[in-house]
Amino acid sequence: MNHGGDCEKTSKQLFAYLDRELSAREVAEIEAHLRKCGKCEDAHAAERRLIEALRNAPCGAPDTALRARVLAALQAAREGERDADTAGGP
Amino acid sequence: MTGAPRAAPGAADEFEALTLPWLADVRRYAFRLAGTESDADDLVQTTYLNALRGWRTFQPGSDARKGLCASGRNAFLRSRRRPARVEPAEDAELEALAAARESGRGGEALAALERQDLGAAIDAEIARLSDAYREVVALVDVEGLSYEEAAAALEVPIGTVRSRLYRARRLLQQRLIARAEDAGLLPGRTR
Repeated sequence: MNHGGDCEKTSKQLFAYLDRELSAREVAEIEAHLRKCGKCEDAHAAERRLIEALRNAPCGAPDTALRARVLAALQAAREGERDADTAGGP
Repeated sequence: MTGAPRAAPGAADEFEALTLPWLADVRRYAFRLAGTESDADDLVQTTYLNALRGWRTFQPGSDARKGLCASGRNAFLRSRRRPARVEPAEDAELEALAAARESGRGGEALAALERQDLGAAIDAEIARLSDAYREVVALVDVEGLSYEEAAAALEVPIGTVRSRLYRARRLLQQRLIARAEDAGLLPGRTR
């Protein structure tokens, strides 16, 4: 069943609702609408799944070349600091 | 970059033990911010060097991932030459898609893509977004900032964060549906 303006308003606010960025009054309005509108409830489920995927998508194993590069940069930075301290003297 | 990192003497092993387990997460965040492989790798290196510089003030028990993300975000935003803008083509795509209201298919597309490599599909589609959309997705969905925190970091009104995030996620949803359809994982929509 289409609830016209309520559906349009809900559609625009679903992401903010899922991000917990709405006021208590707005949350109550959306939840009341979701209870009676299957279409918006389907959209709600799909958008929740998208957000979960964006937040939790696997990032794979660390790249060994990148790890080596970072370690080398950190080592060089430490050596640079030690050299600067030595040059500065006591 | 300004000056050499200031790590506490003898703390190298501790710094690396605490931060390197997050390398893959930091790389993913950097890629989502920067949008290209080489820029992401450069940003990861800068992130770790900046984190090392701040190591002396790091409090035991602090969230290392959170600190690294903040370091990466600050480095990225400082390196940006000018504020990110939305590409007109994306606005046009959104307008064209506005009537489709096919959000329900978004869930089906994600389920279908999970059977292959959802992480890679999401990375590829995020990389296609314009800078303004990619940044806000990275800050809110990867780093976990609130809209208010993201607005402060990007120096834009909170309404702009809300609007960009809505549009970015909607674009991603539509493009993931198209990707699943093109791969034969989801029946094509009758046009």
